[in-house]
Amino acid sequence: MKKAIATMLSLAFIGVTHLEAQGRALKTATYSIPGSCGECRKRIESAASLEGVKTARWDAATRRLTVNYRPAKVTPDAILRSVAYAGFDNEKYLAPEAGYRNLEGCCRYEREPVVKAGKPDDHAGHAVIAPGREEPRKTQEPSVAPKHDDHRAAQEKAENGISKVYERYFQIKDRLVKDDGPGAAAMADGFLEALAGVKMEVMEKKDHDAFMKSLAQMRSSATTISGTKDLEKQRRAFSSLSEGVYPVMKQIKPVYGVYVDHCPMYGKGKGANWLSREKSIRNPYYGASMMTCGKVTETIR
Amino acid sequence: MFSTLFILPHCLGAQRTVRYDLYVTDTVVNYTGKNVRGIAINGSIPGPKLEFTEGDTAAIYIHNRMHHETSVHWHGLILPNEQDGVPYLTTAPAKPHSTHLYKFPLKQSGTYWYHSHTMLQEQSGLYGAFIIRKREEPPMQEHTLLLADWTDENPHQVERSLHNATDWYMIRKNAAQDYGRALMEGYFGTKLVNEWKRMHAMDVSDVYYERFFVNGRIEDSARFNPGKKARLRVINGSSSTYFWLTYGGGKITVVSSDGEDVGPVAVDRLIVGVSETYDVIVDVPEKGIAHEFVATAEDRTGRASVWIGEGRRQLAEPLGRLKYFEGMKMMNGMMTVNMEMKDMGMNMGLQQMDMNAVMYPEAAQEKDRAHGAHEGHGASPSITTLNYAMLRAKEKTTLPVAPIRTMTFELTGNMNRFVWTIDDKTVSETDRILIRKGEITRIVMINNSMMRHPMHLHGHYFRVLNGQGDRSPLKNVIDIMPMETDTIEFYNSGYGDWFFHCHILYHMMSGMGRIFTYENSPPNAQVPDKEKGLKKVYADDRRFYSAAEIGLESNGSDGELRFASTRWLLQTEWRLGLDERKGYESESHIGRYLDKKQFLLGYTGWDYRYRNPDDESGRNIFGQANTKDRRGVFCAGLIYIFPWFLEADLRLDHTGNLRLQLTRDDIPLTARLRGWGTVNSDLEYGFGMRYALTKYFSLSSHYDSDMGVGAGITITY
Repeated sequence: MKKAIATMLSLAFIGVTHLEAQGRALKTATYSIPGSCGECRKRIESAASLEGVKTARWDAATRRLTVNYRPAKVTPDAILRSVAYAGFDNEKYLAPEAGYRNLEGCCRYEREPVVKAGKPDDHAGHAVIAPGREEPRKTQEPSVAPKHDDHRAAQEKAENGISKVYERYFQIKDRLVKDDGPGAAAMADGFLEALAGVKMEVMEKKDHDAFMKSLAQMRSSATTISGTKDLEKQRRAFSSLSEGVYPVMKQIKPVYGVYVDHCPMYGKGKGANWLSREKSIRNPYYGASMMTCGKVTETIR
Repeated sequence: MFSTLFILPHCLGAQRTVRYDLYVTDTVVNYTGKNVRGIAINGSIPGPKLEFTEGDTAAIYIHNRMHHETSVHWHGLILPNEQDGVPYLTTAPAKPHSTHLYKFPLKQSGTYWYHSHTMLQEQSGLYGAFIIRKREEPPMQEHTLLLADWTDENPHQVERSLHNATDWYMIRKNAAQDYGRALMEGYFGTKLVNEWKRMHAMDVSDVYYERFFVNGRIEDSARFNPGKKARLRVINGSSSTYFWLTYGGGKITVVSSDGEDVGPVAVDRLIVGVSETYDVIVDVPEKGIAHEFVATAEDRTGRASVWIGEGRRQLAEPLGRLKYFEGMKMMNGMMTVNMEMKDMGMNMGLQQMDMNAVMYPEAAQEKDRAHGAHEGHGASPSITTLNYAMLRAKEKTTLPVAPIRTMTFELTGNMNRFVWTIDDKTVSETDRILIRKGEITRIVMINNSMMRHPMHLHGHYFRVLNGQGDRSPLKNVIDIMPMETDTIEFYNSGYGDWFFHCHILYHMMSGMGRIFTYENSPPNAQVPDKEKGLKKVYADDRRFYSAAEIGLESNGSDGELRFASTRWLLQTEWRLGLDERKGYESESHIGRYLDKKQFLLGYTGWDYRYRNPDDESGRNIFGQANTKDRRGVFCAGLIYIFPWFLEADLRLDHTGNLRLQLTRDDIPLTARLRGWGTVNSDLEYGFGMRYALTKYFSLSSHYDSDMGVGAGITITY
């Protein structure tokens, strides 16, 4: 008898806890989210921390986000959407362009090229890589050849090697944006190497002329950048390098869109230009001190 | 003989009658976690999509299962006048618990819709899509997108609040343009000039909506064959929201507007005015990816979207918040202190220059990029936005040669009192406009108000004279932005009464419209007593709206009750002290707005005040004796609203006493904090502040020279 009562009581108790557990039940789910640094972690976790999410942890080593959430209050769909708006593609949602572009350099992950809708032979929306879409940033040593050239760029322009020169130019710029003198010097080495690898013989006459016209300037300013770790000197030389690269890029257009940015303040008001694949301003002449100074004056595409 | 037999059923098929039964019921809906009233058709909001083929006869039975009457207007359809569905004007209302039959032949094809034309029922859910297919239309996969806005608030409360210049919706939208925010964002001068020009704030819409829907959902999806094209039939069935349409998967190709085909034009985005329809063609992505077709509310407080394709969902670029102070700056430049808009000789029209672009964050970015783009016009070469000049009819639209009668309509309005008019007159304040069969009516419309208006003509297509010559497009709704001038014309080919009105329902209900009446029309059996019917129609814009502000503070109670219509104001205010020495006073007035812009109010009324014995009877600044004890007087006066909303009240009572009072109410200090002050020639003064907690309750405190300091709550209704 006693036993029976005890059983009943415990059953009732289990029933109650079960009910309680249902109301506040937590679920755990894990998603693969790209990224590589502490900054990404902050962004991913804060985007995932919607109301009803108890914990959100992203592990840089495994690139996995683990969320502990209350299904009654929030859906995995809403969490993944929020993470995508913060710039991170995931299994369910792909980030909008601007969200991706606003990511810190180290958070830029390799994105699959976005294929616009429609058949490739359809001129209204043929398969192109969306302009402005940033290719993944190199963080390795410069001696490692960039292996993720834009696919189309690789196909069309590989024969003359100019796309590697552009790639290196953007890498120098990115280092200057980060106030990374040694990095910029190393990338300038890579630039010179790429410059030497350009096959002028396969170029059309117009392209060749434009390239030859700028070659000396590009070479000398890149040499200056590679020979010093002084950011001041590098930036002065970078201004000249940009002037050299610009006419070449205008003639031999990359398949992606390029923005010509202008910083009116540099050189005591003389101003300076630079080229960028991103629309948002990330000023290489001032780096962290005045990151967003400047504006886009032209688009090459 | 055989052939005749064969043809006969075919002919019968061609003239088939398609019957629909629509059961209209009151219902309870829950979109936000709150149960609120709604109106459903066949159990759903929106109502069912009605589908027909050109040449069919539509027979639609409206079974009104509600306790109040209703009506259905067939928006954009060319039909006999008595089927148009404007209750008491063209059609008998569907009485409670009765059935009304609408029956009419379908002489056109395209995307249309239907909605109630009775009071504010459309807002509550009484609307649906009306699709007519062509006889021989090449099949194409398609999806209908019926856009809508939703507020949990009762539409009648929304309307009343709008008429009382509530700023609660701005607070909800986080769009309050207060002095604090202006100061912080460096626009203090802009705000000051704006108020100097007697403008309260800058916005592109009036109401705060909790939700925006496509087919009754925040998110919808369409099943399409991947890699092919699909037709989207977009209908803006909202009560007052314009939507921006954008698509992440490529260009949007516009092929039809208001049901009429136009030459395909590929754009990056387009705005759909309230009650407009557009058919667009988009590319369906290959399998593995879905793109978002987004409808963003013009005020950008929300959006609804449809996923096109199956697979990982590529989110579309969200449209950023509006930069209100930039808009305010632009408005300051356009508006004179007398509230006349000046377009600075820009000859604006056909949506070609969107002045609101100064508020779009994406336009600012584009402008930086657009080298040498003309300053301030928000021209952004890389984003193609549809405008009316780009619409080109598929076929010639020239009208028969006929006499043309031209009329000019100035779209006018008073934002602060929410009075919307044409030529400063409401529907009920003007006669019907007589038109003659066989003539052409040409209307030049000039928008001299601060809002855009989607003007809709019942039962006719009009040509929009947009520079496309004999291919000028046919439409039945035209959006006119502030300062724009557009010209439309239509061939008079019917009979009866046809409504022409702004399709922002709250504007329409306040009287923004006109009625076109064909001369020598036959009597309409559905409206047997024309005069009585018109009275019912006119009653819509003759209504009075109530308002109250009741302060319950530690020094007593101050309050005001108001009843206002388009022209009249009935008002009573009181101050009750807590003891005899403080006494009480009350003033009651009846007044009428005298000028077009409604800055001047003449009134007459009765004041009474009581204060116990040893009153400090004094003299006013005019040297007249002035007792406050048991003083009852008749008075008459004038109130004028000066720049910066300084309200001057000059009055004379029957004893010859003169009083001048200056008041400034509702100074927006922060988003929720309002200040006020008043002083008069009897040397009474007061000032105070209130902090809005909810729409109806505020914390308040004030000092009054009669009552002293007090603090408590204020109820604003």
